Amino acid sequence: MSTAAKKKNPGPARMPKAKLVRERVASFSEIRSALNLRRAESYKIHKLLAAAGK
Amino acid sequence: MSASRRPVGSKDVFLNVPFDAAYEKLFVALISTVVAARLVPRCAVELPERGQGQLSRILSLLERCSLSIHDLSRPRRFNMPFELGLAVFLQQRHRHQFIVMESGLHRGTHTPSDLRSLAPILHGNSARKLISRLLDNLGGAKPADAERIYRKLTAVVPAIKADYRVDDIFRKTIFNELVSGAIEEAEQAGMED
Repeated sequence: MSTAAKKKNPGPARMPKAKLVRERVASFSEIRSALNLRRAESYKIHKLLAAAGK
Repeated sequence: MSASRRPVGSKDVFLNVPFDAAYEKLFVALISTVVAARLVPRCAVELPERGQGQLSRILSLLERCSLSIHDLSRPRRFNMPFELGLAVFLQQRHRHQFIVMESGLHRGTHTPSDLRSLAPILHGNSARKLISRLLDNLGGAKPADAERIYRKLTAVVPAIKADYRVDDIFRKTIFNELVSGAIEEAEQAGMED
């Protein structure tokens, strides 16, 4: 196939690995839901993070 | 093993890592990175034993994930290369993908010879390298953002362990704490689109 023909018809693009995985990303609420996480306030880490941030 | 049980395009990422104290920081780095990339970290620690056996529980979880990350830098558990084998099977038969990580030290001694043609992510036991190199593969976030989450979580890990009266973080309760904390930090950093 000539260079010009290749430009016109480059064939099926190879999807990079990461792109295939990332067809859809999750919202943070979806991550919480997928792991059945409770409300943030019920986790001890939030108070600790808030205290560490002061 | 039914393909229909594994959602195509699942955002779940199975973390196959050594459950030992020396790996805790890298485990926190992995959780931080996967959350920053807005994917769902999943791990065998989530799975309570209800009589179906460890292998069955892991396989069920792995099937639900479109991607798995296998850190063979110090495979204390013989199960780890075995679980990588399950991921290879899923990749061959279904739409699963996997990433292999190694420390880079003594490289190749832990990776099965059948898989040595793959290019593993080499993190040199450095959280910073793990974050940047894994995000280079996953995309979706800047390393600096994931590093910020990692530093915040790492700072509170000793207090979390003390609160739960445990010596390690490889437990469902701590895993959920860390993921919840990572999400909050990501939200506060304005990482949600």
